[in-house]
This record gives sequence, structure tokens and C-alpha cells, in this order.
Amino acid sequence: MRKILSLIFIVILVSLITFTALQVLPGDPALLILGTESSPEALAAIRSQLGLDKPALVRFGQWLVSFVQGDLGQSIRYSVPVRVLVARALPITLTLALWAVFVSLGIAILLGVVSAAFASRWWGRGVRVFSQLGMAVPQFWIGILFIQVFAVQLRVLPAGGFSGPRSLILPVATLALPRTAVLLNMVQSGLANVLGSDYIRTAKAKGLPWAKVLFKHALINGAIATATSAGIQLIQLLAGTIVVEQVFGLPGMGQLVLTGVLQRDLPLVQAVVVLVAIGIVAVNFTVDLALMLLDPRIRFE
Amino acid sequence: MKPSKIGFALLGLVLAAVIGGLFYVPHDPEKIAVMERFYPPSKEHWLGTDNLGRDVFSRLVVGGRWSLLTGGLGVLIGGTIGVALGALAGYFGRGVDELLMRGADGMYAFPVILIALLAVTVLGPGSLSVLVAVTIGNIPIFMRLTRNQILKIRSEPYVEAARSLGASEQRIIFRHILPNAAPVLAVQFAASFAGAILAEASLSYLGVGIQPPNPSWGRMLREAQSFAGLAPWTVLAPGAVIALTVLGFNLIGDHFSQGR
Repeated sequence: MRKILSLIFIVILVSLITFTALQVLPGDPALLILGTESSPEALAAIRSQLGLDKPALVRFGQWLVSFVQGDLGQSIRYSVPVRVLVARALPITLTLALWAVFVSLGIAILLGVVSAAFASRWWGRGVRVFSQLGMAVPQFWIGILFIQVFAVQLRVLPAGGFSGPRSLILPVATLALPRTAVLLNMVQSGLANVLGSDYIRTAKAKGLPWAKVLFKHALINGAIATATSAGIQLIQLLAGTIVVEQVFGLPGMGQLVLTGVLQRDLPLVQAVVVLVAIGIVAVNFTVDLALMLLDPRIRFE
Repeated sequence: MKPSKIGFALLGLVLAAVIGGLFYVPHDPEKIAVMERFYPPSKEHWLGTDNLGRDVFSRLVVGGRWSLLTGGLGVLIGGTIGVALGALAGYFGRGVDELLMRGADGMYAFPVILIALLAVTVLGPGSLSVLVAVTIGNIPIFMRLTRNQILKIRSEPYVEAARSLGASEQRIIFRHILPNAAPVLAVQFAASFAGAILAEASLSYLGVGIQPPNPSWGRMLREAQSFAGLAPWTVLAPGAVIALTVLGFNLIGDHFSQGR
């Protein structure tokens, strides 16, 4: 309960920070819409239409209330409700991010378990090098290289744009590859630590089958050790989608917010930034929940 | 060879090239020579030329200036503010702690790229926005770290011993707590430098970071993307330099964290 309250608090705080940041913007949104040669009456009219004549705190309150009700405001640039734009862009970004999470976590856990069972020095070293590279290589660079190899040279996949699921394969691979490397290293070193501990030796000594030791004891405890850092990786992945969408020209949230930023479409930017921040808060919350489920010690703290 | 040595070597190499570039650059990085476009790497142009005939190596060296300066300055400012605020929270505890740390929680929800997009909306595209974003993005990270370190070290036996011997609060903070928190902070500084380089590259790639005529590593990739097939070196060189610089910072960070 306390957790949920603090969650709501953070979401409100996040909206307030975004709102305040956009308040200090030099220039008048009304002027931006109508141009400098418009009449004072028209400017006043559009100001009251946008609610700019009211105090900032009142406007924040109104914005928050309508946001909660699902009204994300009106895009200045596109002259349509932001909700319509988000409804078009969000599925692409979500599909991209979820698949990337699924693929990278899946491969990392699978390979991590296999390599813990057949550990060798060289394999461990290879994983560490792979992980360091995964952290260091800029994601969009991988995307550019993937396009070159798979779309331009081999011509097996589309280079960009969105035309069905096939256009998501390269972006998902681009997002997943570096995260897989980092997660695999975490899973493996987490598992290695756990497998060396006393209770695993006890479990083995009392004759439990190896599979049971691995899955029931080691994997869960390994997951506890890696869940927090895995959460950070997932957030980086979410942030990475903004850039990767740009590499592949996908009309997702990243492209939406970037147009908003460059065109100074404040309602659009504000709504998308708050939505993404909420997504990140949600990931953190899920990680905390998962930790509580996995580790009774945390639950009773 | 120890990984940390590789890290120092990589970073030393990049820094040497960038600092050396302040005094001597083989070609004018801005000189457009359309007749010399897409020259492959040669003795004259070590890393070839780009779509406007500009020397890729010279642009990398000069671009590194901007990438390292913007990111580095942001981390230093943000880190200093974060350490100070975190120390306040950890030292005063109670209400101050609660207030500061809830604020940090809120800021945590914004990855650097999101802060940067807000900064660009307010300040317009440019290196100032990147600087602001890296600074603000690092404040909550250092706040949380410093506060937790102070709370942890405060209850260590040697601090209790010092206190029972009658050491002043000042002496405890400066002689005992800060020196013991330093290695952890050093690790974070290294990680943050690495993150800042990547953030700057991403933002300049998106076209909202460092603006022309100043070259930057991210911008070079943005400009080269369409010619990746025709002149692979224009894409490979900046990407590799970014990766090696980040790798250098990360390996050095690992060195500090193992020395703990």
C-alpha cells in the first residue's frame, strides 16, 4: 500500500517537473501558433483557449485532472488530440520494447544457465568481453551497421519504415543485442556466486537432483541478485527505443516526441515525456514487486 | 594484460589525440573539397574523407573536443551538486533527507535522453542542452549514492571509535567518511563519463545535440549514415572511437570497484 502511494506521488512529481520545465520556455505559444503579425484580440482569444491566462498552478491542476481522465491535450502542430497521435505511435514502441526485453532476457537466462552448468574459463572471459562491448558500443551504430548488412547488402529485411512485423526484426535485434550481452554477464556471474554458496553444496550433498538445485535454489537466488540491475538495463532499453526508432524511421513515440521537441509542440512533448516517465516508474515498480515475490526477506522488512 | 590497463591505454590514446588536436590537426576539419569526396583511408587521409571531402581523422580529433568537454563538464557539475545534496541528506537526516530523496526519486524517472529532449524544447538544440541534461541527469545518481554511503559508513565501528574518542563531527566527515566514500564515487564518476559520451553521441545523432559547424562524433554518424555502403569508413571510424572511449571509462571504473 505504501508502495502504491509513493508510486502515485512520484508520477505527480514527474508531471510537475515536466510542467515546470516547459513553463520557463522563452516565447509565447500563442505567438508561435498565430505568427507575429496577428491581432492582439486573436492572441488573447487563443491564450484563453489554451488556458494561458490562468495561473500556472491552476493550469497544472487542470492538466493533471484531464490527463488522468485520458485527455492528453491538443497537439499544436498537428491540430489533433495528442491521444490520437499516441494511440498510433505507442503500439509500435511497446511492441519494439517488449520484444527486445523478451528476447534479451530470454537469451541471457537461457545462455546463462547453460554456461553455469558447463562453465569454462574461456567462456566466462568471452561473456565478460561481450558484455563490456555491449555497454560501450552506441546502439544506433549497431542499427546503422545492421541496415547496411541485412538490408542493403543481403537484402533480406527492410531497411526502415513500418510495413508489418518484418520491419521490426532489425530494430528489435539492435535494441536487444547490447542488453543481452550485459544481462548475460549478470545472470552468469550471479549464478556463479550462488552456485558456490554453502546451501547449494548442502542441497547437492543431500542428494537433490541437479535440475532441482539449479532451478529451485540457484536460479531464484541468482534472479534476486540481478533483478535490480536488470531493471536499470530495461530502462536503458526504453530510452534506447527513442534513438533506435530514429535509425529505422519507425513512427513510434520517439519520433513523435522528437517532432514535438523540434516544433516546440508543448502539449505533445509534455504528454509523451510524462507517459515515458510513467513507463519507467512502472518498470521500477515491477522490479520491486518481483523482488518482493522472489525474496521473502524484503517482504517482511 | 589487466583490463584496467587496457582502459587507461584506450583513454590515454583518445585524450592524447584530442589534446594534441588543440595544437595540430593534419587537415582543416571543415574544409569542403567535393572533388576529394569518399577517398578511402590512405597516407594522406588516415581515415579517408566523407561525403563533402572532409578529412575524417581531423574531424574525429576536433569532434572529440566537443564530445568530451560537454559530457565531462556535465558530469563534473552534476556530480558535485549531487554529492553536496546527498551529503546534506545523509548528514541532517529526517525531514531534509525525506524531502531531498523524494525529489531525487522523481528525477530518477527521467533518463538523460528524456531530460535532454525537455532541455532542447526549452533552450533549443545545441551543446548547452546536452550539458544541462547530463548535469541534471547525474544529480540524483550522485545524491543517492553519497547519502547511502554516508549512512553506511556512519555506523562503521571505526567511526564509532573516532566519535567515542571525542573527534568533532567535522573531523569525522572529512577524515573518515569522505575518504572512505571516495572509491565508490570514483566508480560512479567513471560510469557517468561513459554514459555522458554515449548520451552526447545519441543526441547529436538525433540532430539536437552539438550543432554544425562544430563536428561531433554523434553528428558525424548522422551525416554518414546514408553513405554507409559507399564509404564504410565514415561510419566505422566515429562509432569505433565512441565505443573505445566508453570502454576505456568503464574498464577504469571496474578497476576502482575491484580495489574497494
